[in-house]
Amino acid sequence: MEENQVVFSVKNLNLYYGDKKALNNISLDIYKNKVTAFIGPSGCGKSTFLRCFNRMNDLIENCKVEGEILLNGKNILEVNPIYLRTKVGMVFQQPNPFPMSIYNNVIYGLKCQGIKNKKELMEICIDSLEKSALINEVKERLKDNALALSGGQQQRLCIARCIALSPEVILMDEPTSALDPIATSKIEELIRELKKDYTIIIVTHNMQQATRISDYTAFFMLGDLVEYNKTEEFFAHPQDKRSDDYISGKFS
Amino acid sequence: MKLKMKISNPFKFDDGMSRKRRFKDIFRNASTLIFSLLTLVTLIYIIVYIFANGSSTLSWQFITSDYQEVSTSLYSRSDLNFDDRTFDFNEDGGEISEKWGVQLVDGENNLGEHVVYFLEVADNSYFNELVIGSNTATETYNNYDGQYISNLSLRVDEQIITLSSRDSASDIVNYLDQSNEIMFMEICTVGGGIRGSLLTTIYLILITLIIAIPLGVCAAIYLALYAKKNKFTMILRSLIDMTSAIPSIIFGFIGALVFIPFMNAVSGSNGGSILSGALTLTIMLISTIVKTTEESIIALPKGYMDSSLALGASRTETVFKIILPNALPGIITSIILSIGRIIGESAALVFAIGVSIQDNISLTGSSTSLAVHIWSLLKLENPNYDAACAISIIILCIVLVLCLLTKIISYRFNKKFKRS
Repeated sequence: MEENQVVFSVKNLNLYYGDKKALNNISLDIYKNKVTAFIGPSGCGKSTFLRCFNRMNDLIENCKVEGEILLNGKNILEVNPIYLRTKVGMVFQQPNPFPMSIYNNVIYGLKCQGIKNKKELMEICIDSLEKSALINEVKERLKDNALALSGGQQQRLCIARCIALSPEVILMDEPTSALDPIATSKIEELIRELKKDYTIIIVTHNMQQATRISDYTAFFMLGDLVEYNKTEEFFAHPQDKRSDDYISGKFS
Repeated sequence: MKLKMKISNPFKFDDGMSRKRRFKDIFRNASTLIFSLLTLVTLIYIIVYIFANGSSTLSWQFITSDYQEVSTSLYSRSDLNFDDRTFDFNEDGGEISEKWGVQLVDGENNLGEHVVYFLEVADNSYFNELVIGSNTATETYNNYDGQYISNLSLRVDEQIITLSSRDSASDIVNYLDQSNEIMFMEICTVGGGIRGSLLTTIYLILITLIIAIPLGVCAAIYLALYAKKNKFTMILRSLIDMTSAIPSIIFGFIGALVFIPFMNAVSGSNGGSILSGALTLTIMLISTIVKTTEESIIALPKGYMDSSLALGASRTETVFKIILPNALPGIITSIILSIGRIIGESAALVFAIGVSIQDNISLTGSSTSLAVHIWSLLKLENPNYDAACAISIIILCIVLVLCLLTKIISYRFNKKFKRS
């Protein structure tokens, strides 16, 4: 692999739900300003793995993580999770803006950080909406309820409120699976745009989407990391038989 | 036979159903209709009965006046002399006694009986020279506002005329003008009002809610967001569910056994008080508040918690900035339901507060709520159904308004969460 700066480095990660092992000895590196896609069949642990990066699994009872994840060389288990989550943002499958105004949605994270300066908040809000390509659609109605937006707009608002905290990494958990094809293509375009400033990890069911937007692809199956490679290489010459079967649609 | 059936029902489709099935369907439809009609008629009958009997008694005076009648005995002094006075009256109507300087008017008391009220007593009236107690006393009386004459004995030409509140104002004025001496007059304040019980009910609502809302909402937050799913919370949940099914009379004697002695020890009150009643109601209502609040928290999209935490908010910040504001309509609904329950509750309060109707309300003194007021009126030797119906109208109206409020709030809530 070419010379890339490593943002996340995962080493021998095991994850258990109670007695059940959900992730099995996973090691991989995530590179800066690249889009990394996690693909695999349902229940293979890719979303669970994604949630390890901002420690959202802490909230689940009986969930135990072994091994280490290093963010810029520092073990994230030793970082305050609240600080970690401002550095590692997350966008969920369902667009879920809070039932408050668009403006308040974008600055919610900042307000929790204790930033009170109205001018500063407004600047960050406009900037984030610009970066998430939403500004032209909402600049006249920042005070309107966010739930009045369409599904695709809501998802871009969720990306905007994540960007407002100026994170290093954005985690996306199937961000387009609840959207129609037009909204999906807008989000994909946005992701290509965003990778200039941020490192993006995206979980997707859609292999075409992975080929369209990602630089690296990791294929998971039953809690194992089967293969991790550059996207072109992965889809052109899968090294493992299981990857080959999955790509070509031969499910066992 | 089949042919006959078709002829007798020319409008019925031949849908291939056997006669037995068709008969069963008719029976089911008919019974549904008859029973729903029966329910409706019963309900309408109750409401019409209450309004027909209570509306004549219901008045502003009924709501604002005291329950106890206070009577005063008055006499004209033996040395009373009549001089040539003229009297000025500001009020119109009624019957004027030019000799004594009083203006009387026919009216009704809270029981709907005819009484004669003082409309106005002139400043220089001889009535202001009447004395309390006996005809040799010196203490004069001059506060006739809102009182009525219950008994009156006059000396007219060496004859003693006895009048009562049942006589008309014109008769009384007629005899007064002929008389020089009031041998005995009993005047009464208007009683039978519900001011005390209404105030008690308001106090009960306020104090109960002040105690119950923080307890209930905090318990709901704990159960919905913090509690782990283990045996302890399962038992806790089923206990809360059970509490809402316990008959209120059981809470009543728990109140009598636990809270009345407790309040007596704490505040030095004697017997049931508003505070002991409010504590009992709190225990009764907490399950409703916990359930409704918890349900409205659980009904929120699960993503709110996750996405708020993913934005670097702490759990507490999420609860207070996202969860509680959005669960507020549910909390308000539970508050309104609780108010309805407090107003309507009688069985528990009979024990936890007591049944004595009072006019001077204090938090630690005995008094009674509107619903128990009805109960007290009906267990009198001569049950006062009209006043009971009048109170029922008030309670019905309050409950109706509360129900409408709940509907409006839940409507707005649904509208807010409707995604376009």
